[in-house]
Amino acid sequence: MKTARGEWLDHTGDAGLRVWAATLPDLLVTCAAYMMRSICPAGEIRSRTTRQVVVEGHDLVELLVRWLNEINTLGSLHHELYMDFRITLLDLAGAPPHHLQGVVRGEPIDPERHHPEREIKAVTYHAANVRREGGGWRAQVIFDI
Amino acid sequence: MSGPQLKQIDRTLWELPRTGGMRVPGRIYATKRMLPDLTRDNAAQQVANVAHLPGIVGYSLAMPDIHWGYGFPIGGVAAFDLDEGVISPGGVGYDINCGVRLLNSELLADEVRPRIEPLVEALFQHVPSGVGSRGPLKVTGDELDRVLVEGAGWAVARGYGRPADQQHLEENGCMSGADPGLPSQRARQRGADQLGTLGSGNHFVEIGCVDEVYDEKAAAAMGLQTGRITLMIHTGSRGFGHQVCDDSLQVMLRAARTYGIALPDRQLCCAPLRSPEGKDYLAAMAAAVNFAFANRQIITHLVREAFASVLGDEAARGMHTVYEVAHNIAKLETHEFEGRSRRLCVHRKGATRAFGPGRPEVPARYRELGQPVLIPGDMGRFSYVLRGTVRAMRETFGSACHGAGRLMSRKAALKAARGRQLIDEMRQRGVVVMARGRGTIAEEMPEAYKDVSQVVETVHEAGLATKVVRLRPLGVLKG
Repeated sequence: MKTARGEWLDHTGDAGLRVWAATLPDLLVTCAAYMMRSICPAGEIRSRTTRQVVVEGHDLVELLVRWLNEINTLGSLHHELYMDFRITLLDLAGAPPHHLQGVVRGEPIDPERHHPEREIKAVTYHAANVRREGGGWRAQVIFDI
Repeated sequence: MSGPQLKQIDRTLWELPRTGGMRVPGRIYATKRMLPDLTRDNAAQQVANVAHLPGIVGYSLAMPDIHWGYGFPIGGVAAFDLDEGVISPGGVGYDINCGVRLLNSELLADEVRPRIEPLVEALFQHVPSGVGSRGPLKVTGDELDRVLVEGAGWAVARGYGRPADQQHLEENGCMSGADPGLPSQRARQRGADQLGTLGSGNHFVEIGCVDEVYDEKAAAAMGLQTGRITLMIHTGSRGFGHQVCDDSLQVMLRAARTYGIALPDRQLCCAPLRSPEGKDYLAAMAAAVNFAFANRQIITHLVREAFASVLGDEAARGMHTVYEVAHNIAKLETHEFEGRSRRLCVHRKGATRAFGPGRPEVPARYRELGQPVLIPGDMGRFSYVLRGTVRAMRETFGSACHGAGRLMSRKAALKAARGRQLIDEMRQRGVVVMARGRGTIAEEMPEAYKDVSQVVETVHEAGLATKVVRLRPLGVLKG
C-alpha cells in the first residue's frame, strides 16, 4: 500500500471514518487530515501557526482517539483550523501507557476566508479500531457531530 | 436483522431477551412499521450492550426515536442501583444537558408570517452560531464557578432573561451537586467564550406556530393557543461539556479496568456510582449541566432581543418560557420499582424526562397535568409538545422520546441533497432557513429524519406521554 486513503462510513447518528495507510504514522496523519477536511476544506487553510500535540494511551485505539480529540480540542480552544499534521514520536515499546507526539499547523478561523461546514463534538471510542491489513494498517473511528 | 432478535410484547413494545452477558432484557418502543429502520443498523445491539452494565435495573430501554449512536443508542434510557450500579459518561454523551426550551408568545402567526425573513435574519445576527463562534461575554475564574453552580439563575441575575424563565426549567435550571473545581482547566478555557452560542449540527432556533391542539386543558396551562407564534431553542453545554465528557472518559477507561468491569464497547466505560471516580463524574457533569442551563438562558434573552429588533419591545415582552427539558443527562431520582421506592441513577441519552402528574420535581403550574415533554422534529415538518404520564413512571422511569431520530447517515443525506436547492425547497414548504455551516442544511434536511409524527404517535399510543399540541415550523436558524 503506497498511498494512504480513507472513506466515510454510513453511520446513522453521527459520522464514521475508515482509513488505510502503509505505516502507523501515515495512518494517524491521514485520519487527522480527513477529520479536519470534514470540518473545513483544506484549500482554505494556510500554515501559519504551529501546535504541539502530546497524548498517551493504553493501546493503539486510545492513542488514535486521543490524537484526534486533542487536535479537535486545540481547534476549539484556539479557534483555529489545521491542514498539516506530522508525527514526531510514536513510542509503543514497553508497558502502557504508550506515547504519541506530533505537530499540527494551520491558522485562526477567518470568517472572510474560511467556511467551516460542521463542528465535531468529539471522537468516540465506539467501534474504534486499529489493525493490520494487507501489509499496512487500517483504522476506524466514529465522530460525534 | 443481524444481532439480537426482537420479541413483540404488544403493538408498541419489543423485547430483546437476555443473552450472553446481558444482566437484564432490552425493551424498545416502536411500531411494526418502524422496525425495519431501527434494525438495519447497530442500535438494537447497543441496547443489548447497555444491558451488560453492572447494577442496571429493570430493562435497557429505548424510545421510538432510537438510532445508532456511540456507546448507548440515541434514545436510550437505563437506570442503575445506587449501591450496585455504575455511571457512564457514554450514557450521557459529549453534549451534556443538550436540551430544548420552548417559548410561547402573544404574536399571531398570520401577522408575523410576512416578517419571518427579517426575523430569521435577526436571529442569525443576534445568536452566535457555527464553528468557532464566540458568545456575547467571556466568563472566567470565580464568575465561571458561579455559572457552574447556579446555572440559569446566574444568567437571570445578570439580566439575561427573567426569574419566571427559571421557574419553568427542568431542575429550575440548576442541578445540585455541581463541583466547579472538578472540570479541567481546558474545559474552563473552552467554555469561557461559548456561553450564549448555539453550536452547529442539529442545534437550532426555530420560529413556529401552534398548528393543532389535542389537549385543551394542558395547552391552556402552557399558554399555547392555535395560531400563536412559538420559539424553540435546541443546544447544550458546548465545548465545556464536550471536554468534561472527554476528560471523564480517560478516568472511566482506567476505572473500568480497576473495578474489573467487562465492557462490550469501550465507549460504555464506567465506574461504580459509589466510587470516587463515579462521584467525581456526577459532580463534574452537574457543572456542565448548569453551563448548558445558563447557555440556553442567555440564548433565550438573545432571541427576545432579535424579536424586539424586528417587531418591537412589546413583542419580546410577551414571549414566556413554557418549559425546558434536558435530553442528555444522568440524574438521581426516586422511582417505584418492584413495589418499593428506590433511589436510582437514570441515564437518558437522547431521551426526555416525562414525569407524570403529582411529581414534586414538576413546576406547580404543570404538576397536576404531568411534565411538558418537548419533541422537536426536523426543520420541514412538525414539532410536538406532550405531557408525561403515570405509565411512563411505571415503565420507563418517567422517560419518553427526544426527537424524530435520524434515518439517513450524514453521508447519505449529502448524497441525496446533491444538485438540489434545499433552501428554495424549504421556502416552498413555507419555512425560511438560514445556516452558518455549508453542509448543515443538507445533513439536516427533512428526509434525513424519521417522521416525528410517527415517533410521537408511538409514544402517545404506548402511553409514555400524551399529545398536547403540534407546532409547525415557519423559520429556522441552524448552526
